[in-house]
Amino acid sequence: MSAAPEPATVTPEVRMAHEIARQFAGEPPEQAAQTIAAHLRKFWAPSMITAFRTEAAAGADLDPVVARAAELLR
Amino acid sequence: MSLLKEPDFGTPARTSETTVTVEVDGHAVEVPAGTSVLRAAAEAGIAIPKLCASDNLEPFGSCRLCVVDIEGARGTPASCTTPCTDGMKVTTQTPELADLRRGVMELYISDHPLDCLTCPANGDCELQDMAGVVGLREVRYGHEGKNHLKEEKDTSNPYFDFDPSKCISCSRCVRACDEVQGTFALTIEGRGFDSKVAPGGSADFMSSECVSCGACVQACPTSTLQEKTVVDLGMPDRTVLTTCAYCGVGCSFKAELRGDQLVRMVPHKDGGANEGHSCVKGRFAFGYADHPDRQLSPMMRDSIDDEWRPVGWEEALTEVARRFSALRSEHGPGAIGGITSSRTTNEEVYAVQKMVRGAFGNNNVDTCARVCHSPTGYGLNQTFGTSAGTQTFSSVEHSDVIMVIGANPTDAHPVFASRMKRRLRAGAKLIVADPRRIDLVRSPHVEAEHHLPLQPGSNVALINAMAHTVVTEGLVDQEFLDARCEGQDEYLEFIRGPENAPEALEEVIGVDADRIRAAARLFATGGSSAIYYGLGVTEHSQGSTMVMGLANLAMLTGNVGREGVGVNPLRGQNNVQGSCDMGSFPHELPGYRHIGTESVREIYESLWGTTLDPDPGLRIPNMFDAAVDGTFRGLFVQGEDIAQSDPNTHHVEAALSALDCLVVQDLFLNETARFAHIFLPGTSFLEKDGTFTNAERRINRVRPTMPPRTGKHEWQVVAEIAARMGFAMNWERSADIMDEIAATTPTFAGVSFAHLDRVGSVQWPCNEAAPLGTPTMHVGSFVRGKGRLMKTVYVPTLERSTRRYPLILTTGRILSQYNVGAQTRRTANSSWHAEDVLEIHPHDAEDRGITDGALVEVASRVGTTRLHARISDRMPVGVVYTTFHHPESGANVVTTENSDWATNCPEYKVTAVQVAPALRADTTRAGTATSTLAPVGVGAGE
Ligand code: SF4
Ligand code: SF4
Ligand code: SF4
Ligand code: FES
Repeated sequence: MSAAPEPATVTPEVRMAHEIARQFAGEPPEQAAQTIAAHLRKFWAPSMITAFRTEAAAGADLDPVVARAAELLR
Repeated sequence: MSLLKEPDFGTPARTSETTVTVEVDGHAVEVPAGTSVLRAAAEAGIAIPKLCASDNLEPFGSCRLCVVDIEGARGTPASCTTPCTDGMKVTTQTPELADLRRGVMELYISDHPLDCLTCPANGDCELQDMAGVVGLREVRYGHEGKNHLKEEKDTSNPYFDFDPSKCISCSRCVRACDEVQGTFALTIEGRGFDSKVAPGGSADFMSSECVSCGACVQACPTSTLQEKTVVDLGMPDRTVLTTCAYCGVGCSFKAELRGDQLVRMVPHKDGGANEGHSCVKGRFAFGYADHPDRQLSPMMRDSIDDEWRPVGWEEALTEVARRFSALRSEHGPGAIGGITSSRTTNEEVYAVQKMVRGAFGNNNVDTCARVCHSPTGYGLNQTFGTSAGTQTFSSVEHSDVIMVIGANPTDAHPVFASRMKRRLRAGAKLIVADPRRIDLVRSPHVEAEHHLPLQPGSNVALINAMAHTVVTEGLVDQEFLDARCEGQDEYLEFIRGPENAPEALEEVIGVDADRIRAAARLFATGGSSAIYYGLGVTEHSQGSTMVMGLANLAMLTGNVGREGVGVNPLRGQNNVQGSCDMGSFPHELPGYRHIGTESVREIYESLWGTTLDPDPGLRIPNMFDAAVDGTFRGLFVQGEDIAQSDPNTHHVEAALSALDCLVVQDLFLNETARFAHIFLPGTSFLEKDGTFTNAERRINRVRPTMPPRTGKHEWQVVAEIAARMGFAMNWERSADIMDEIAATTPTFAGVSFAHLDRVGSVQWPCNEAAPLGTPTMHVGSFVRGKGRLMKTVYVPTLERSTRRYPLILTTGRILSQYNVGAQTRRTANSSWHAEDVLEIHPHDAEDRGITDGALVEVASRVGTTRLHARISDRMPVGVVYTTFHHPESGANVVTTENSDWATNCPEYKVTAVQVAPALRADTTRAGTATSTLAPVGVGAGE
């Protein structure tokens, strides 16, 4: 997995999602994406999840696992 | 209550499987083998005169006032140094013994100023008492002979005086410093008549090794060592039992007052956490409570550029409610929130989270524990099933190996450190994992078996390397694992991987593989091994992973669920544990129950008569991001100085200035209050009525010595705001809040003020099954059933040293100051720490032309600050260190937005920086303009 994007260019939600994703980089991608999505559901406010999904949908530069996690949050 | 005098049994209690029975003055008394005659007599209610003995010190046998007759024994042995034997017959009063004792007293008094009537200890002096007890009527040797009466007083310590003319050389102070405190600062110099107490080799107390814990002052039977407040104000006449408001040790104190004036704080012998010991903060640094900076009236202003205007409570509370209600209607309930404090009581924290959930209508409540121990909550919950340390403090007395990682207990948790050092002096082995050579690594009579000076940010690599060693060298406690844990196969396969071998990770960790292996072997095979950790574990991008790594190591080696072992977070502030327990996380109701769990929500919904939002709210850093973003508009902050304590100050300030309404409740106009629209005065611990929960889950009572100086308890203020927003919180007194907590939180079911008043303190869980609480957790099975081994992949932090920022800055705290220093800076504790300094290794200093004491500029990619340098080889090359007790130094101006992946706990412990001599001697906190090094970067979201 690539390193998280440069901090100054990304929103907090995208940055944090990548920070979480880095922890599961060794897992099979689908499993990692599910773990990330479950973590976000458990700990993130809905407004953050919405912002994250909106950014993902708007084509933010996301790691594939992070992008898949955003999809799973639908 | 009137002045509480605790009984002194003369010598320490002994524990033994066998007992012996002795007869004292005809009374049979059964005691554990090894008990002294003096103590056995005291237990039978017979007080033998004594001067050099005290029940917190090993007997010394120097005064010979405690002589007794023992049937069949020669002479008159000292009862303090004579152990009881079965069938022994002791007589404590005979005319011969009375003569002997009078003779002893006569000698003492002949070298003692006879100024009892004007002596500050008048009425609280054991020498005076004993003169009475032995019936001393005359002193044949006048004061003409050689004496010590002219010796000069040492008044150098800000809190106590040393008047050698009154010293009887009983050595209680020396033993207290050695045995109780473990600092070994005092010695008896000279012999015979010339012997005198001295602060070991130093001119005076202030320049000595003394850490001002007060143990010697308490031990001194005369007024030789005396609190200055007693000299100034006179002897106290009443006691209120309460709890220290500083650190997570949670020491119990006797607040001793004269009328309404607090004269001194004396540690309480029955205190479960401290058993009669204290540190300089709790013992002496209480003066901030009536410091002139204290604000006692509510204040308001329209804009943060206006002057404050004092207003009445009615106007202030109505305005808070009006503004929050308006923001809620205009921008939706998600636009407002609250922050609770680990410095307030459980009851006050509970009130704030209830106000946010009930009156604000959301879960935007977080606590300052976010920035310290939130990874503990996450990590221990995942592995063990509950978010708390596993042991009592006294458990350390049963440890054979103690691993201290990312904690500096002698500075941050001093009373626990004293306990730990006592155990280490008795032979337990110590492993210290810390980049810095903290005092514990080598202090008098304590030396770490292994000091692993790991690179900041490599914690998980270290713990994995240790676990790998344990697993691959066959040191696993397989029986424990099979019986009590799950996730074995997956975890063992992971940890066996070559990438986790010490040899593969030594470069990252900065410690040779064989040293890591040796430490791991000691931990696994040394007997009962315990882990104690602090913010050096949690405040990292992998803080939660590391907590799970510690839990893994404890499970692998079978070190959970009995005395002497366990995984123990050392909590920073006094009520970190309690504020977390009380539901001040945005995803959890009290008792760590997820807000999404319907059955839990229902408990509160039916009691509060409202519907709760089932989704998690915003955490503190999310609130800041949302404020900058414009979606978060109003914030209530109780007892925290987020502008100073939270990372990346520029970002925090941008967030706070963006708020439409910031309400701050605090003792002082702190840094955060610079951005506030409404200020509500808070109460000091001397006015609070409630409970604090310490790091060992011990719920201690905080009792008021006076009514709130502001006219209202903090929970009352919160309840009145909620009521004005249409949500009733009907409590008559603080005890009602604890009753509500107990009625709704299973782990607190048995707790009430009345119960605590009866039994002293309890460690949760406290319920029907455990009415006196639960000292050791996870005995037999884990709270979650099976302990869960979690894979802990090491992922390096993104914060790395670069050419531009080649050093790593890490932060910590020191003994005399506390957190952001709001309290301690307003006491004489500043005599020890007038400013924060930057510790830098001699090589790094030389490379940069930095001399000791020089003003330097510290720059990270987000900010720049200035500090004076202290050249010290305590840090490894490449790592610099500072504390964050003073706003001027603004350590957090440079810390970044990086945080723990699971909890957003900021990564305070790793910031890449550059350090250079400052060009201008301007010590104010620097922004962009004064930086000589690098432009201030922009954190995410700014
Ligand atoms: S105050 Fe504490 S450290 Fe200082 S001399 Fe007394 S016992 Fe020792
Ligand atoms: S200072 Fe007090 S405790 Fe110490 S030797 Fe003198 S009288 Fe005893
Ligand atoms: S160790 Fe902590 S709780 Fe105890 S007196 Fe010191 S600051 Fe207070
Ligand atoms: S009290 Fe026993 S010798 Fe002093």
